[in-house]
Amino acid sequence: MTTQILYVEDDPSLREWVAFELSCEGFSVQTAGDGDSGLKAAMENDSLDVILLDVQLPGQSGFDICRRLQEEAQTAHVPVIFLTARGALEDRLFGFDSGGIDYLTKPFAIAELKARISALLRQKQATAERQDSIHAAEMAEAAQIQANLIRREATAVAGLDIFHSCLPAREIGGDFYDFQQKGEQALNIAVADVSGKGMPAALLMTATRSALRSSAKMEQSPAETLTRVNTDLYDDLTETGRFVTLFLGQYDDKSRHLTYANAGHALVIYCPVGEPCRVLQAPDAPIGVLDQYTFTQETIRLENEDLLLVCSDGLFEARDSASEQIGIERFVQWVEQLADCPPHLIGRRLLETVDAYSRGHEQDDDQTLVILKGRG
Amino acid sequence: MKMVTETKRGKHNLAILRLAGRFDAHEEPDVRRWISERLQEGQNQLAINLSEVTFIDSTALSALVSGMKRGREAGGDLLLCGLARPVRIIFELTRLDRVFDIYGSEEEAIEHFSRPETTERGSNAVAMWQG
Repeated sequence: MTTQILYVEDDPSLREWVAFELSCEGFSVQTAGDGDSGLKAAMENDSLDVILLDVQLPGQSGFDICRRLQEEAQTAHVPVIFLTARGALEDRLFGFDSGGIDYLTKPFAIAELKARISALLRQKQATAERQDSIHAAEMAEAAQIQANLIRREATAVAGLDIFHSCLPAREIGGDFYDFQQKGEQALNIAVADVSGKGMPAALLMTATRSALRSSAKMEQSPAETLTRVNTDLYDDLTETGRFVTLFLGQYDDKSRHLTYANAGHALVIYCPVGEPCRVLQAPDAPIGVLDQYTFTQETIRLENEDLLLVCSDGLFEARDSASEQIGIERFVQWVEQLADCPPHLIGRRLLETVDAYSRGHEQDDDQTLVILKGRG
Repeated sequence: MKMVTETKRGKHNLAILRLAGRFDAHEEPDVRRWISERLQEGQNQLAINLSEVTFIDSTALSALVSGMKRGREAGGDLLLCGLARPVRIIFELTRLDRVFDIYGSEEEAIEHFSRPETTERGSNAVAMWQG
């Protein structure tokens, strides 16, 4: 990107000459002839890299302008070089005191000005790169932590085959799934989506996972757990203006039934063997929407070959290069076509199909998929 | 996304926001800002017309939920009206259709706020901006 310089100087011939020389170096130079218009120009351009300031200007002095620039959040980071005939030590000290980063007295050699600008930019670039690399390292670590929180193997329960996958749209996201074995025959399966993306959603995802884990320990039913999670998280979610959709199923290997509570999570697709696939509409609204709400639960059977698929909206809302969404109908059709396959094959093919469909369009949202199929 | 806002002043302080096109994470901050500004101005009777919205995602829904909660807390409400089929399906799937007061048209939403007494229709300030 072209370096943008603002040069404030009341002498028109000096102004034109310096601007010409700097533009020959490839800089984009904006000029102002007095203090007020210089300050205005600086305030209006939020992509300035360097400001060159004369001191004796009509209107406000260069020192005054520099102080004002330091006070404003949008200009405080732009380095100021004074270009002035006032070369006395006390003037130079005053210049640095008012926030200047460098001080050049007239007459000056244009080569020296260019060299000083280049040195400043080099240092600015190095600082930015250092900050970027610290940020990238932190994000990578956060992504790893989140992946460890999510990527736990589903504990084996004799009567279920399970596929699970979670692909955030950015490095980290607000989707997660979780499995908790309860004794030898029972398994809790949770799939959740925090509204929003990136770091804010990831922070709330961690809070939701903790609330869910501590509530689910208490031998409660899915409905009781969601009621408790909602109570725990309601204030935080209200404060942050977000909600969480959460599906929580409790599978019992003895009865071959799955009892589930669903706080607004979509899609949940159920394909009992020999019957067409159908979307199970959530019985209740998301977590964090209604205060002191009592959630409900429903039960389905998951016997041999019965299929249950829980995914996040990032999958069926994925768009192609023409921005057309997969849509619920088409997604359910894809599931229907694969319903006879084992879960890992359904999962892999479904993700491949979504990926092929949405190639050429960036991933809008986190994509999570959990598939359960009765076995034996 | 296109946003059009209309303020009906009078006995009831009613603000209407009309949205068109995709309503997702890109547009959500503008809608949150609109809601915050109205509430700060003391307008707690808000209606959002979604009849021209073709798609709504969960981030956008969270902005509406947040606005509804804040509106109710301030003694008013945030009503929705004119949901087209694809948008209505998302509301039904997430069960948010049971949380909001949803009306078929803007007129019906206005009528809700007008009850029990009739609202005086005062000056209409209409602003428009492209999102």
